[in-house]
Amino acid sequence: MLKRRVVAAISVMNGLAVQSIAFTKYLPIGRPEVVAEFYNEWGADEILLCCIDQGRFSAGPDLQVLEKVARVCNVPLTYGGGISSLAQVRAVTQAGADKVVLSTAALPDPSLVEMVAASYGSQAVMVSLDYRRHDSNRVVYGASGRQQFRLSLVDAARLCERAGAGELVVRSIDNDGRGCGYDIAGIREVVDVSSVPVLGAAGAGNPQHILDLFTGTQASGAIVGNMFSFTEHSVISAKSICRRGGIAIRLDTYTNYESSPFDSAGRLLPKSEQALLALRFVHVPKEVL
Amino acid sequence: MNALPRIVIVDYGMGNVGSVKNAADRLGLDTTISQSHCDLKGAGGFILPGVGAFGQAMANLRKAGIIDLLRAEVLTRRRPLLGICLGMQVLFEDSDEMGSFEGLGILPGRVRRMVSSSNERIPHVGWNSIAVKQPSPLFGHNPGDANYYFDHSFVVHCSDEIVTATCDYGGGFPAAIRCDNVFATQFHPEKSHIAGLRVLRGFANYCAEVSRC
Repeated sequence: MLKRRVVAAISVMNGLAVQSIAFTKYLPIGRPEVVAEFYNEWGADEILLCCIDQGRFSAGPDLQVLEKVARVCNVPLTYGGGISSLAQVRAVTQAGADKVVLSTAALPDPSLVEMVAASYGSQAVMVSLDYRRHDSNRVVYGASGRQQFRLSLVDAARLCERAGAGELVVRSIDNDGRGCGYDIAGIREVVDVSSVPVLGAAGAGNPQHILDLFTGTQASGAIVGNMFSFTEHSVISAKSICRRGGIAIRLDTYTNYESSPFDSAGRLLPKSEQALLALRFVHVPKEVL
Repeated sequence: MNALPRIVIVDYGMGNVGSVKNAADRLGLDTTISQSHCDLKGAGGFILPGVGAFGQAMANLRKAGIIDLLRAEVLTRRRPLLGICLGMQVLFEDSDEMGSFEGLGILPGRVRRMVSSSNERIPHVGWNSIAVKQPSPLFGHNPGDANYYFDHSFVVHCSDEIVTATCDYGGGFPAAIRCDNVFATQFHPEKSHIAGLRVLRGFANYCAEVSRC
């Protein structure tokens, strides 16, 4: 059975991984390749690497960061940031990305989406629809929220899918970095009009938010940014909580917290004294691949 | 005992050869990315990756001038080969992806668009489990419910005899095939985390075994 995906997002600004808040405030985390190595070990289903520096669009993709991150990924790696030509897509795929994500270059004219889909296949191209809510409308933006397109979220989704986008990312700028949950209604709007996989992004602050996204919509995946950078094994905890919430999800890591208790904020609770005492004599041989 | 044989990751301009090399490096395998006749002739095994469209893949293979050599190495000298995703599909006779194209014809069968039911989206992208139908050096180390990463819209139609494992998406399709020294997976082992690394280790072990004979 096809599993829902939990995608770990790494936002990079000037070569440093950062947390993003509403596309305006950025807090440093550390070296992108180190963050990627952790997410890879913790069983992220995919890694989404986005270079979001100001001026990135004219500078082109950050191949140096991409190469370092690609080296530590044993899961699919999607790269976004600064792509506006087919030649750059070629450079990005040669540097180690499996898929590209387009945002600014995809709208209002999706010809680049068409070209990439024709050369690399739809499966290689995702389009990220970043939007803000204006009253009851959802309007799409490019350039990390600085450039407004005259397109509603649903119209943009239809346009990009028709142009050949293999997957769509639905990202609420208003919810970004707030940790208050995904814009489920917005994501559902796109899921309902698309026949390609749709992934929700922006707003996860608690594994329950991911579970809510999966139980509330047919979204194929949940993209998680800031939330994963706070705790050890964050990806594993989130997946474990989704699984016990009844979602079909991959949980193949040796550590899977299947019988561990979590609190309401999704934090691991200490094991019982008895369990801890028994752990002293458990031998876990390291697997040599 | 021979050292681990050198495996050539065939570079024909399609597919992320870098990912395959990264995975092989993590396993400590001796691999090289190449399309040169010299490298191909000296290979102890081949990995044929592939991302993109069938027609373009065949055109690139033709342009690289390596089709006859690959067929000879695989069919006559019986060198092990592992095809991945599009690299699995081109092993067959033809495909109707964006036109009508002939494949390498190393295995009997064809490639056709996946037929999905109402709530199955195309492309088939994400993690899915498989049902292993025949014992195989590739899957010996993985639990039966392991997940692998798929990303495709087309599937192979071939005889059950060569199907090692199936996946039940889109009405069911071959997730892995084997005919003698030719192996292939529709999923991406280099992108399937630990389960995928074990599959690659299985192939590498087979190459090592075969090279001792």
